[in-house]
Amino acid sequence: MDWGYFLKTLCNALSEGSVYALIAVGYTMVYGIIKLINFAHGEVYMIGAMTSVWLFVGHQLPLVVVVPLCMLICAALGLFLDTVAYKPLRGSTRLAALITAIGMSLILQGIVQLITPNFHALPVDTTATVLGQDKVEALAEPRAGAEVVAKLRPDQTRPITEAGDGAFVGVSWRLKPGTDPVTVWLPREAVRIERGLPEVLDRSVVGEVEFSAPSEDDPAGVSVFRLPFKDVLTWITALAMMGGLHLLVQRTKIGKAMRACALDQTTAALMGVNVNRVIAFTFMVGSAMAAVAGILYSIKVGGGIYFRMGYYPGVIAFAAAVLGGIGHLKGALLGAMLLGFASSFWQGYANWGFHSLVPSSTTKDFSPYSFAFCFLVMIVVIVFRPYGLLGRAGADRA
Amino acid sequence: MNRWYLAPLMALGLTLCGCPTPTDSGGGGGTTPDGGGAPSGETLRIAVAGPLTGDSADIGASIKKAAQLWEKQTNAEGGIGGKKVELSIEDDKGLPNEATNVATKIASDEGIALVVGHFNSSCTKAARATYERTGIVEFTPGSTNVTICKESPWTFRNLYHDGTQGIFMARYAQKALGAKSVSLVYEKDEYGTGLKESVAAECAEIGLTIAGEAGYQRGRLGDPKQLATTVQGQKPDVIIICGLYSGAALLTKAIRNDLNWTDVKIFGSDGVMNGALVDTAGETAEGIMVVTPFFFSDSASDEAKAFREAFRKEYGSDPDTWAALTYDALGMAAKGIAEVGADRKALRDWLAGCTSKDKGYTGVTGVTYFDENGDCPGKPPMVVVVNNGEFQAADPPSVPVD
Repeated sequence: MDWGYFLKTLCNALSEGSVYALIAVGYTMVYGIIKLINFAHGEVYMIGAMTSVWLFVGHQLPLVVVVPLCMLICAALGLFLDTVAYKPLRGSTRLAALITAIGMSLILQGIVQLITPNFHALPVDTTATVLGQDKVEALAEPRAGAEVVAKLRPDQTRPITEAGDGAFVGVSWRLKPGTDPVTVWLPREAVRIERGLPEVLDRSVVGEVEFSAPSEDDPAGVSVFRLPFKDVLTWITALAMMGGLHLLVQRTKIGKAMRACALDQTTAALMGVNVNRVIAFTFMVGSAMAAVAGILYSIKVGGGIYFRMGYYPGVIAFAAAVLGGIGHLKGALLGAMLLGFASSFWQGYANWGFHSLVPSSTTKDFSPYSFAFCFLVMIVVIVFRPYGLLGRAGADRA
Repeated sequence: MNRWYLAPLMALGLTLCGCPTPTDSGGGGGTTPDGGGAPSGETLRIAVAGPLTGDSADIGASIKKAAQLWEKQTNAEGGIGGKKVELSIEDDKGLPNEATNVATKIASDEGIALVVGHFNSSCTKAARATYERTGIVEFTPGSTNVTICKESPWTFRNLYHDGTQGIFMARYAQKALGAKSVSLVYEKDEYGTGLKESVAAECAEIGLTIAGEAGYQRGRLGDPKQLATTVQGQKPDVIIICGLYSGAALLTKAIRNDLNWTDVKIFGSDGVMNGALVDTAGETAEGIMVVTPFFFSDSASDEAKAFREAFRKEYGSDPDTWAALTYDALGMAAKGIAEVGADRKALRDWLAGCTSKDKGYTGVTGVTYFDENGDCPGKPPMVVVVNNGEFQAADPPSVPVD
């Protein structure tokens, strides 16, 4: 047994589950109150990820500003969705609202596609890009009368190695193909500097832990386990957000109103609760959580951010909400973690399991079917517990 | 209850609304062989279909740029036989069901003489039946799945197929990269799966150990780190990626940054050949090796140099392989139209008649000619490597395939 591999898979499962959990609460809270499956929620997650890249890369804002700003933007989007698409249909059939939700999802995808059709990447390193049309001269040392060592083409992007003095910036560059990169100095006005993610995110918080993993070819084989800080950050953020949400629902006045609306909207209204405002607030909170999920994804993966990215995580998170018992916050967390584990462990262990159990299947690859396995898990749970893990018959609540 | 149901419904809707009577195009073309396909008589129309948005949008952008450059140049030179050329560029989003919709739209537009596209093998395959039924040539500048041209007399391509690419990749990994065992990572679509099987078959042939396989669904690579972890558990010397640059970039990032696994070589198929690989993967892209049907080297032909200059002048950036292949496909189509007119059937017969190097079309990427299936035998694969953020010819650039 390769314990390093097992631990890595476990950490990946936790990270994946954390992102699903943050999306799933949005589905579950909205369903709990107005019995609507908000299919546009996956798109809110996508827009959260996109805005974070737009603000962080395009506008070079620091992360502490990007996170609250993205949450605000997505909360506004949630409010917009409710006001424009769902509120006018409050009295009509559930099916009308459901179709509207699907429509909103497609509209949002379409709008984002029109604005940004392509992939975006979050830069990991702080880089300098050569500007303009002409070649830029690079120096070996930034001193008076320094000799030019290379001419650099426009639009080339390289990581910054040293900030240097005011007028020059030290950049990692390969002067000749095949040689090691050296630091060359570029005039600061000739480059555009783009700040990347803090380096600490990729650093391992436990160092490089070696586990012995002997195999037939290599009896002294080791597998190295490392835990990048960004994974820990994902878990902590998800846990803190879920805890905060739990407190919000259980301990605050608006939380009490949300619970009241979930139990019985008419009675709540008679008791003086402004139902429409509570519903709008629920949409905003759920969307802000989805924004955090989007930001965590951008930081963790650093790419693959485009208009269709919300679809599959949205579907999985919805499955997680149903699996946990729709309407339950804790259920959403539990379901999301279960599906995160199902997905990661299937990807990591399906081939090993099938190949050792069924010797004739060794030429087949089972790993791509992790999403199918997630749904299998959901179906099995639903067969035995039709209201989800924490759900009870006739009780839907926030 | 989800959106999957909507796609076939929409396709059906489009088919019902837009489908013409199939006999119209054939009959019209037969009576007026010279430009019979263009009802206006003023312009010649060619469709270009590719993934302008979606997971392979960067390749789609290249294709679009090359097509527009070609249109501009051709019209500046007076068009084809005195007639202006008009391209209709369609977006299939890299999705097979969208490709079917696009195919229906194109095929039912009788003014269109020929289609250059699609790019993704899955799309070319999905659209193929529509084009074959209507009788219009589907000329792909990028799909390499083995059976694409074999199964339809109306489908052609101007690059190698994955039978050749797979053999080449396995041999290159063993001979040039010194691999003892390889992991095969593949995208679970027509292109990735087909190519992976071809690589696997050749590995068995030459005695290269397959440490394991790992597949992923395009657009569903939710957490590339788990894929990277799975591959690391297989302990290969070389990772062969049969997929697109988008997935390859995320996987590479996870391997180098998250796992800090630096001593494994990454060898991608031609779908990885795009500048966006370096944009997304950044520094981690260094040293990735990629197969390509064509590369702008310093010793390029005059056609290639002229095309690169024109492309740079127009867009301020270098063209890539897919731009060059699209440009060539359009150039070859123009040659056909100049010789036999814009009739769909006549064009197919003309293309099918280009069976040897002398009868073929010499363009940017070399000579295009077809075997009896419509496959292009004359362009061997070669390897490039990312060095200092740019693709350069690898050392050695190629190994023999035959």
